Amino acid sequence: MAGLRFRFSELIKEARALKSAATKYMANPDVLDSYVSQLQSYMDYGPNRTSKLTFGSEACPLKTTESKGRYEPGEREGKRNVVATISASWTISPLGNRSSKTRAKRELEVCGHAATWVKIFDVANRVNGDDTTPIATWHVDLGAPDAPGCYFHVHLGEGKDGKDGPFPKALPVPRLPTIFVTPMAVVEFVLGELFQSEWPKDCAAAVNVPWHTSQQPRFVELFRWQMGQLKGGTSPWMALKLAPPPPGDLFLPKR
Amino acid sequence: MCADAGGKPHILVIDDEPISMVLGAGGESRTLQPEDVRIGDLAWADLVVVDNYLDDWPEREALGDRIARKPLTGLALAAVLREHVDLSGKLTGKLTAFAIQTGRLEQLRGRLREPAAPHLLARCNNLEWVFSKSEARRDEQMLLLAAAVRLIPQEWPEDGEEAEDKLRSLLELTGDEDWFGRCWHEVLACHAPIHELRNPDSHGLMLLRWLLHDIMPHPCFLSEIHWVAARLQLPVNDLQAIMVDGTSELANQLGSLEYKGLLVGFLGRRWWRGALEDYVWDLLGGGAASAQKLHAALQELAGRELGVIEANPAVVCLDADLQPERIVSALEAVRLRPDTWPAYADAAWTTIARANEEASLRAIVDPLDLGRLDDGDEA
Repeated sequence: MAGLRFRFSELIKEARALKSAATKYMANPDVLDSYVSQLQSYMDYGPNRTSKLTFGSEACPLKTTESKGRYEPGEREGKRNVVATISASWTISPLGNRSSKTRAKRELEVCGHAATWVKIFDVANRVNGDDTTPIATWHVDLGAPDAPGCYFHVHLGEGKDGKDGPFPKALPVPRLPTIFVTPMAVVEFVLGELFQSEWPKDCAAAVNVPWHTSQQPRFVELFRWQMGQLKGGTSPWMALKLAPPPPGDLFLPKR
Repeated sequence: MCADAGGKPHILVIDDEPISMVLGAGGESRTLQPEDVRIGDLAWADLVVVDNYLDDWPEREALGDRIARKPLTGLALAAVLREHVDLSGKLTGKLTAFAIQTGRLEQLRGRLREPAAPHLLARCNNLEWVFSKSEARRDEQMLLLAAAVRLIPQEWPEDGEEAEDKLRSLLELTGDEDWFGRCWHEVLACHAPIHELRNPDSHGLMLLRWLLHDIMPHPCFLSEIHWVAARLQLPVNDLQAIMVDGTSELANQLGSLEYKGLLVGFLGRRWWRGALEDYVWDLLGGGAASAQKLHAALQELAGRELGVIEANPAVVCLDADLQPERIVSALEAVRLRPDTWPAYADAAWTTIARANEEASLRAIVDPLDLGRLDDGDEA
């Protein structure tokens, strides 16, 4: 079955819009520049050439600025000072022929493993200034057709079946449904969690309309597709969990 | 040495024909033929306005083919006079702004596309402004510009903090406002020329040019009424009516967010963008941006029924002359990259329909948005 497809131009706009909206929350926003640069390079690849599209890396992920207890909203203040790191790796393949005439509409297909990792670190636990041991970790995946859980899901911790230790180490389930598809959407989710009061206010500013418009159509199509799965014959959750992967053109611009 | 901010602004008009200005009690003006201009006249003036067409200048014609001594147009003459002013200004510490006035703006465009906006014409010709004789507010604008020149210090404080204080004072950002921090941050993000002004060789008019050429004509830290209407999701006509009437609580609250600093009113009313964002946020109680909730709150404050712009998010779309035309959903618009649009300004938008119709707009559509146009291939 064909994988999810995205326009290169939409992913580039998305990254640039997020950088414009959220630079102040990022310790190393140049990670977004590298991501955009990759997309621009892959945009010129020949068709069906499988590649790894990476957003940061395990060694050099995007790191947020410090949230000094701001993961609690309003006047409340959390006890920890935390930072988050986000990195991603998507296996992709450009589609269609390279052509300057059709470059603006060129698409990529997700054709393998696609995951975005989030780790939360307590600044108090730093060793020689480095964040080494996370206090929380999860990854947002686009599922394989034969994987448990629904297609868009979150996998908590690094659980492997049979591994020693408490949850989430010892078990690869539960996989929780998610509405965050791209690495940029995951970044926004993390910012909203770590900066509960600040990010919503900044995000609402009119100057960040490009960010809103990069997300809105995708969310609408995702919810529309999910609604379409609730056909009866089983519980709504089972219907979503067992739904086949969405059509590849789900997130392509609709005319 | 600081400019004398007291006293009335002085405007010198250089024209080959007698003209009259309507300044009222707000300023003083003199009109001179080109041949009669002396350095003392320039020293007297805060603003020198030179008519671009100087056809009736017999002393110039009498020079025959000594073309280096024959400035043919007001543009040429302004350049000569500015050099005299700059030299004498170093001795007297006085600033003088220069502008051209013309009934035929299109003939000033040089290498610019037609029609070129006054701020572009001014920037390309080393002028503070270009006045069109058809502009109804021309005399008022001249007065505002001359008054602004009197407020600019010739020498800026060398200390960085003092320089920032001075800029805040000129922009009338007192620091007492709840939205001060946000607005000041936005000012700095627009490359306020503070540090250049601290250079002893700098020219204080750089600040005026920054405001006139870069800030006021574009959506930056100040919002023109169309952008305010888009943010409030109100039709522009409704918002204008509220502000003109001025009696409602909404008019009063929006009035407190208006820009009142240097060159206030020169290109119409402006509002502090950051203040407007804080205002909307507080009006909605810091919650999700519900269009219905916002509209209900604004209507209550206005004390009357208001229209609504349903599009959310709403963006101001520009026409082929890059002027605000209509407010639509961002999903029906594409971004433009006009040649002279400051990188720090908000995105320039036009409707997809407009971009499909107008070749001049299509040519400047952001390459990443080309795929959304008909036969949307890369240019």
